[in-house]
Amino acid sequence: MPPVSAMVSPSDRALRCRHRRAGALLFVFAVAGALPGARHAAAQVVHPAVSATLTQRDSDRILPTLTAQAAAEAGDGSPHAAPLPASALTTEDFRRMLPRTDMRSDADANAHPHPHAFLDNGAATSFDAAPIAKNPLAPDAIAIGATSCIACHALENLQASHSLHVRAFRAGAAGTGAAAACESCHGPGSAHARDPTKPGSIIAFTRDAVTPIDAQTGVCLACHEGGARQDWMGSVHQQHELACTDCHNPMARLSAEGALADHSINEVCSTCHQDIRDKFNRRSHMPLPEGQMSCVDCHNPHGTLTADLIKTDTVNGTCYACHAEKRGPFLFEHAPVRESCLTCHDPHGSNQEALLTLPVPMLCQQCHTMTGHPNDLLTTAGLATGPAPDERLIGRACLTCHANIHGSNNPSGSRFHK
Amino acid sequence: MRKLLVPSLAVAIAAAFVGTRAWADSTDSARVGDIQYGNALDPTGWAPLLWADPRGFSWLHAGMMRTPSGVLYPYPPRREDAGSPLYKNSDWVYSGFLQLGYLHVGGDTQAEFLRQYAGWRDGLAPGLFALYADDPKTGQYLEFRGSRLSGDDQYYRLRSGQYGVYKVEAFYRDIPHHVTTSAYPLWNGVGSTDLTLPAPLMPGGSTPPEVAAVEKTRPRQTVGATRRREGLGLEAKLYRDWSGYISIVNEKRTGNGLWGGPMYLNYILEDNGGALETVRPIDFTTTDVSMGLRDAGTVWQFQLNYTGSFFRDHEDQLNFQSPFALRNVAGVPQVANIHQGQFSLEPDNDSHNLRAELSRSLKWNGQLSLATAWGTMRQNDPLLPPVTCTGTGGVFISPSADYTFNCANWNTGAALSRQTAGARIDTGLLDAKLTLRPTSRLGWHAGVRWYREDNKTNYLAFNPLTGQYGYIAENGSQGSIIPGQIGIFDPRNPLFASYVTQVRAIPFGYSDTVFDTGVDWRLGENNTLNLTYSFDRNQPKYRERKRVNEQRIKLAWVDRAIGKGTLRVDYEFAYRNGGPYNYNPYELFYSTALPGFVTPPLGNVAFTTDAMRKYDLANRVEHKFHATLIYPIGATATISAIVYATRDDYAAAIGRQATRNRGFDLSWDWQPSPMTSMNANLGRDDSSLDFSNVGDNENVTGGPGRGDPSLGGPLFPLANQWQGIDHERDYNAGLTLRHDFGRVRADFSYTYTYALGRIGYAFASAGALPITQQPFAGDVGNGFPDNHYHINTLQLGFDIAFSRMLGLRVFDVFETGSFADWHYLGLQGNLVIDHRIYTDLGPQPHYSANLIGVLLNVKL
Amino acid sequence: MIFTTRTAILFPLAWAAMAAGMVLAANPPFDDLRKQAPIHGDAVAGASKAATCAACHGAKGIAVAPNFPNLAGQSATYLYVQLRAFRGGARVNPVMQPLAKTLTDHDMRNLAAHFALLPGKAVSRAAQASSRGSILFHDGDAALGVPPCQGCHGIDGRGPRPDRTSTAPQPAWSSFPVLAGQNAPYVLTQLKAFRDGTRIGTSNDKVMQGVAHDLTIADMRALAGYVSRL
Repeated sequence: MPPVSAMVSPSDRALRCRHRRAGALLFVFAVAGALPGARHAAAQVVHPAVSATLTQRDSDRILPTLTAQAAAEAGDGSPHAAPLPASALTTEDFRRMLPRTDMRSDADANAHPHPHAFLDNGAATSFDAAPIAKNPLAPDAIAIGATSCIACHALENLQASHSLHVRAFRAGAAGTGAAAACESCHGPGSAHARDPTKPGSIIAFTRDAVTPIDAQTGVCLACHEGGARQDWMGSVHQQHELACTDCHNPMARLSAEGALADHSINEVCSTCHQDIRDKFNRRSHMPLPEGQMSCVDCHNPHGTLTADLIKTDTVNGTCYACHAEKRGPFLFEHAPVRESCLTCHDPHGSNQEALLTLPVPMLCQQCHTMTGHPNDLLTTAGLATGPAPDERLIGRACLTCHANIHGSNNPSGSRFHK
Repeated sequence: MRKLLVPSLAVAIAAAFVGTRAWADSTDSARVGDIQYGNALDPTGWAPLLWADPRGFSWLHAGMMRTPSGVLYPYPPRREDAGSPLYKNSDWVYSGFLQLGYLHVGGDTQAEFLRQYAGWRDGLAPGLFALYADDPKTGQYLEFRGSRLSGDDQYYRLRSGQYGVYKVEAFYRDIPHHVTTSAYPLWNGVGSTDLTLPAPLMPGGSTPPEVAAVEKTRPRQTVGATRRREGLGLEAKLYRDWSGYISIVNEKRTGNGLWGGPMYLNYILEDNGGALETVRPIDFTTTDVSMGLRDAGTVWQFQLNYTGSFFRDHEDQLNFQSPFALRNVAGVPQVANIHQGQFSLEPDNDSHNLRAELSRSLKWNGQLSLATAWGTMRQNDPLLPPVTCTGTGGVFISPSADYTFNCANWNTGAALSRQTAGARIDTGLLDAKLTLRPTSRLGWHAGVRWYREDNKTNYLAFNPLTGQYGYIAENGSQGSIIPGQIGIFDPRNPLFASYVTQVRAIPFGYSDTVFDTGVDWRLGENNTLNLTYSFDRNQPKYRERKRVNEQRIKLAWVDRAIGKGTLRVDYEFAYRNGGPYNYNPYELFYSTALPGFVTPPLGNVAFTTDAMRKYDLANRVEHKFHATLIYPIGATATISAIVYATRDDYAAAIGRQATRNRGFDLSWDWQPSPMTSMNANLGRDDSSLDFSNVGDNENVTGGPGRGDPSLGGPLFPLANQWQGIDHERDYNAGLTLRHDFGRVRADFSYTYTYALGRIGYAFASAGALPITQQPFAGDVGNGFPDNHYHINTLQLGFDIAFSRMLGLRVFDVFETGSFADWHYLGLQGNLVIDHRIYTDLGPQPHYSANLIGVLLNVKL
Repeated sequence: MIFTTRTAILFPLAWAAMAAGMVLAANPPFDDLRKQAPIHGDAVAGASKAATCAACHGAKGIAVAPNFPNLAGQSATYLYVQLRAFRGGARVNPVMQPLAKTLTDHDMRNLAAHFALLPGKAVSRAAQASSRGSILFHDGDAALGVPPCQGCHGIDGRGPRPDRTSTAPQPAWSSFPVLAGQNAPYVLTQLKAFRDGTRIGTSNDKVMQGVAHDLTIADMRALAGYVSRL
């Protein structure tokens, strides 16, 4: 472990920035806090004696106000020396807490908002500097540290220990000493610890949370902004009020990777997009049911610059990533091919050969009248079983001759049959 | 490079002001491909490790939490609470898993739908090998995952690094794609560039019965390709909020694919022409390089990405022999023996794309994003000569009607105006987006996007040896059957001075500008409304319309007041129109535009009917509706339902006219305890597509009125109009059940897929049909026989634990399918039909197969 | 179904291997209380069975000695699940286990209802707001990693009082005990038992194991003293 003094080297610049960000975040929460909290009346099953107590005592219920002064007063004869309130943790306390040091309280966080600069210690990770999320619904709450959290949430702790998210936090804590863990995301825990069921006393990320979705998202983005998530704002999933935790669950390792809320990307997406999942059951499909591909191979669910969450500048750009031979450009181009693969193919699956949206030749006959052979109505008489077999209908139909339909590089290939 | 200077400078300035941020997952969901590693045995790539921990998630309460939308999270999987030390006193801890055993496939093991993307093979298979090790003190980790079904279906992936500092990734994988498992190619040399006829067949010298006799002796083959990919990537934190990444992926794709072989129309010319289904080689190498720099700052975010893709096709051509003789329909008997065909296969190509994206956080919880990208796709492959024939092709009628051509003038590179393709398309993208959320009740966004594809390809089909323009059509066959239809224009020869043929490559391109703006309202705490308007102006080049506008209004409503669930309803309305529709925008690229072109007295034959509206450009009205409901039932179950409908109406007398699609899905999930989970789902989808076309009056193409493009005119009489209707219906159902009995865990699943497709038709008169089918017009009914695809899959598995470390998985998958597609109807035992040769029998009409596996589970 | 000879051989082999490898490791008894609903019992019937209990826990549910717990006014569900735990072995106690084994499920419910209805022990309140015990009880000790007791046992130690507006999955609140007025030596013993892992047979005990993990003996003593005077 590096000496504590080495960890504490906040630059003024960084400090300013952190405050600015914290301010922005605070704004989100402040706004969120103005909302009336969701108050669903829930029939609570409580022992009769308990509920009697509840009714009787609800009115005179007081939140304990523990202040430093109160804490400083003498104990009730217990030999334990110098009881400390949570707000006065010292660096020594953190040292003592190692190796269970995946915690940090407000005192430390406030004193050293940026306790670690990357260049100071090559061994440390980005997680060391994770701040404690602000919870406007419990503005007076203070951090109590992960050790306190996992006292009750022991099993959650064990399950989360297998998730990348928590492992990373642990490593951050081990590398540089005390760092925030639970409270980095859930906000300071003292209010929740005292009154654990009070909605909003902690930032929750589940259906029961009273914290608004965009505030929940804000917590995650506080660290995960940018990169693949740079276009989250205004993306279709953001507009449909999806929260990060609709697709991710950082509290357990449910998936091989990606901290997903289900066992694989495809399962996560098909929670809502069942119609698309069904298309992959069709005769021709991309190898998603076979586990070779995922929705996220083509789409970035976090938002992109291109419609339908396509990752590249165009739909075709994404297709070319695997079908590079169709990128060309060719000497002779087929206009709708260059324009969009979707003119003829449904990438999710189709009842025709090769993901085509209609059987050939009907597919082609939607655009090609011309004169001569393209415009005839081909009937059952032209099947191989019919009285007048017709190559425009049998097997690969049009593509038997116009095989280079995606474009030809042959000087005699303007009609794609060379 | 000046383009880059401004953003780079901005970045440098921004960098000076930002603090340290966490970064992670900086490439995965932004990169195309190699996100998912799994296979047909285990699509999740993680299945053996997904049995839930009987303890559940919390000592404080039963059950699982729900996602914000209301779906239950699965129970966390069972794991050892702590990893084992790698060695004595090591800081590193590890956990690992190995599933290894024997797989056996029985029944119709070669069924196409069983093998489409799965390399099933009898034998020893490591189902999953997973290893995870990390040092909790330093955050260094190492992760490995691999599985192998066979040599063409396997993956291995290694990741290592330090949390939040760097990550190295290496992978190797093989992905099979079997296109057909019942191919009977006639030729020798399948998989190579040269398809030759097996003895005793003679190129251009065999009769259909002779060919059919040989075809019957050909062995069954599988046609398909394997993608072998290997990649190496590195991501690292560079300085403060800056990170960089670089990755190289190499793919080798080998195999073959079904292809074609034209020797001119056979349907209209009995015992003449040729339509050959051949097999082409696939031997591709693609190298993708991706690198970038990202700044994930608080206020400024920036990314600069470069992707380069280098495709190499090691087989640039396919040569095939046709066994059939061609006969000219007029003139003295055939002067050339055209029996050699050739295809250019895909050229090598290079592509580069450079993209910069800069975002800045604004007041009012806002964000401004600016992005620009520049890309180019290029290839300059040597061009093949127009033909491979030797001797004299074409038709000789008389010295004044000499429609022959000398192959020697066309079978070398000297016949070309240029030796290489010189094809290039440049792309450009500019994107600006502003989002503001001044209060949590109101949000607003607006954006402009401009994208352009500029095709710089310029090819003139001019033969310096002959001074002629155009090309030799269909390997010389067309002009050797129909006098004059060689494909060439010659202003100096009256026989060819009125010939309409394409003489230039058409550099299709477009620029597309989209403006969109929208507002979000939060109505109370449980309802959000979102309204977006967009205007899309597409300006295609050399297409039927110079301008296509599409306006779109989207309304989205999210409601969280129903139970503890979520309802999301979307409705979209779009209206597309545009500039005047020119039914023949290609004049410029045809011989008709060249000096010396002599318009015949009757005029040129109309290019197509002016009533045609191609559906990518036609006026269109679109309605889309989509609703998703997630509805929790008690603490342990969830019902989710979706309902959707889309209707598109195109303003087209000829062309695509309408599409309809509607469907629903219903799903029930139940997890009463960590030991039990169940899912049942049911879905149905109906779609239809209407289009219309018109048969030309072939008697008019040589007479008066041939230039009239109007529907209802002499060339395209209303009597020849016809209508096509596609109806498709899909049923999907599934049931999965998992239960953990303690020492024995059982899983069961059943999936059902039934798809029906029917092409119906209606026609004004027999004139709509080809001449060959007109005599049967009374017997053709109103459509093709139904196509169907019907699969039932049943899986039953048991995991038996012997000890904490050791277990056994025994499973059986039984699959049965039936299939019909009229494309393949009547091909069984009949792959040679006159001058047509078919290779693919298509998917099996019925199959049933059984996969059984006995695998040892070892916890490492 | 398509079987080959090879698979046919593999199956018996696999089952044999399984039988050979089957070494049952008996799990200690565990009583999962997470789905425990509040119980109901016949207090009058319970009273008739309470004679044996009185020997230690007093006729009125107030223990005859401070090392035994007071039962009067305790949550009925808590009392029931403890009896059940004794009977099933999830909670270990040489005296209570044989006694509980003689009880039927009905008896346990009735007894629980009986004691729950008895008035709790009246204590003379002392001013202890600033005591170490009070601090631990109300605020916990973040430095030690000890959460406040009041979150689950109520601000006054008289049982949990969940916020009824919460829609989140709830603990089996009724199975959480009243602490107010409990005998300090008994509380101390139990805290030690939680910490030392000798009382971890129910899901609630698993929570308490974590809570007590970082308590020193002195803190436990302070807490026990504090709750006994509530």
